[in-house]
Amino acid sequence: MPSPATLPEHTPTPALSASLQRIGGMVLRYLYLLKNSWPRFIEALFWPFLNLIMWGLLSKFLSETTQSIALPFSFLIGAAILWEIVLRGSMATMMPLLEEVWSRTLGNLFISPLRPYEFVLGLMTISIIRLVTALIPCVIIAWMFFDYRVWDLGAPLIFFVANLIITGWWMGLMVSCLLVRYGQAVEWIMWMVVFIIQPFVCVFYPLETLPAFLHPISLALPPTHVFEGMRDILLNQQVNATHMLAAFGLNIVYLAAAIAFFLRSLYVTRRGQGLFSYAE
Amino acid sequence: MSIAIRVEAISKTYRSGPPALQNLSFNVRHGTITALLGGNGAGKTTTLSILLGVLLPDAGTVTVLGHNMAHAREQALKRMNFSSPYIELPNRLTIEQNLRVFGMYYNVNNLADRITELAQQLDFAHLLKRPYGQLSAGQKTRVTIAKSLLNKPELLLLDEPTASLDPDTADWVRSFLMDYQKQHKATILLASHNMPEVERMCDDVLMLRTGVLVDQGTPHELINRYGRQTMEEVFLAIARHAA
Repeated sequence: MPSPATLPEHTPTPALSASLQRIGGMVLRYLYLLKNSWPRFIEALFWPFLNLIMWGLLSKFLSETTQSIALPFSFLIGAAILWEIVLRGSMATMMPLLEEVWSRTLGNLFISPLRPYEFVLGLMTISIIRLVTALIPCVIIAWMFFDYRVWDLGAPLIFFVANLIITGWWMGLMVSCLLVRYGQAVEWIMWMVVFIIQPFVCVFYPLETLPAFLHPISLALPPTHVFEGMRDILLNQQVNATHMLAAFGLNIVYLAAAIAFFLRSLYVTRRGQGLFSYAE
Repeated sequence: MSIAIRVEAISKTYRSGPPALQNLSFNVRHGTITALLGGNGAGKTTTLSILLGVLLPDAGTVTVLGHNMAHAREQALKRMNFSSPYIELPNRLTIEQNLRVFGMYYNVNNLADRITELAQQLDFAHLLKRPYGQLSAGQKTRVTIAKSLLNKPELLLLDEPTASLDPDTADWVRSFLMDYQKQHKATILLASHNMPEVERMCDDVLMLRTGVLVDQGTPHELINRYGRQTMEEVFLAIARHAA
């Protein structure tokens, strides 16, 4: 076999470009995974689709059988689509790390020059790609089969979606901290944590439905403000700026905290057992 | 000759168990192949993990290619790489996809050309479109070595580079790595349990036992010092503390 040949010497890539290239590598790795693994691709589409069909049919049934309608039942479809953003966003943020653990490849990732903040940015980018992949078909199906146009929410929809994406990021990062600190043993807790906030954020019912003592918890969660804001638009045809600002402010605080926790988890794990144990 | 790796008085104790490393100090000279030897539990894995910056020592400092691994590991990681049969590449990605992804992590210029060149050198050009998970152990070893050479590392850390390979393939891998080291004047630190491999490849040997550096020297010096015929006998003597 031939021996190694000499290539032109490596010339350093400018810092920003190098950083973007490393993040691009991370994103490419997950695009390849989706491309090569059709069950993963189907899974990415299946659950949002199933949820939408379920809530769409329920909303149709309620609309046809109930006379007194304070709020069009089609809001259930909108709520289901928006909740999918939180759920799929947080899962998509934590999945890349889980995939590396499952395939025992975490070591190669952590010994590469990929910086922790690039890793976080990579996770966020991947989550947006997976969200777009999963939700665009849902939006089209809601329109075609249930005559629900999510864009009827108007310009605030952009704000709702942005906020829910950020919520997905910080939830996914918080859950990823558990994986970094405690390893694969906590995997089942990770799945649980993603769902745990759903009853408190009033996706399908107004805040008043919750017992009063839970209101502070509910109002401390940004999605509550998004879903309350959505109902305000549908019910009162008015945009509630307070809810919008509260959602955004809380999200920024939680995202900053989640990034700090994640970076701290990496450091503490380096100090303890190490970022990976390759000699298994 | 300048120093590629400087390890100064590092200690590490995991939450449970005895100290994994105790006041360990050594240097690895630029442009040499050095073996890190020791029995199970001697501290080789802990040492490699600390050199890679994925584990921090409780005390002491590690400088790799002039960079402190506690604070500037990314600067060093750009110029080094690591290969171990115990760390997989993503199984569902093809070899080409894997190398492209890792090439991007390492900001490799002319990446397509570099992948083609490594595939030819390591004789897997015909397998580039095959998923990594479908390769034999020998093929996987060649691909992980290619991954570790993507960035033309000045420092290459290897863990058991010929583990689970047949003698012919193992011999070829050794020759390849020695050629790479000579051609690029690279530094290689390898952990191995294969003593003939160490005798053939290595300029220097570091012997660990229970986290302590118990001896070092060239293979020839160690064989003479312990009055043995081979490195295998030296290893057994030190591991069993019978020298």
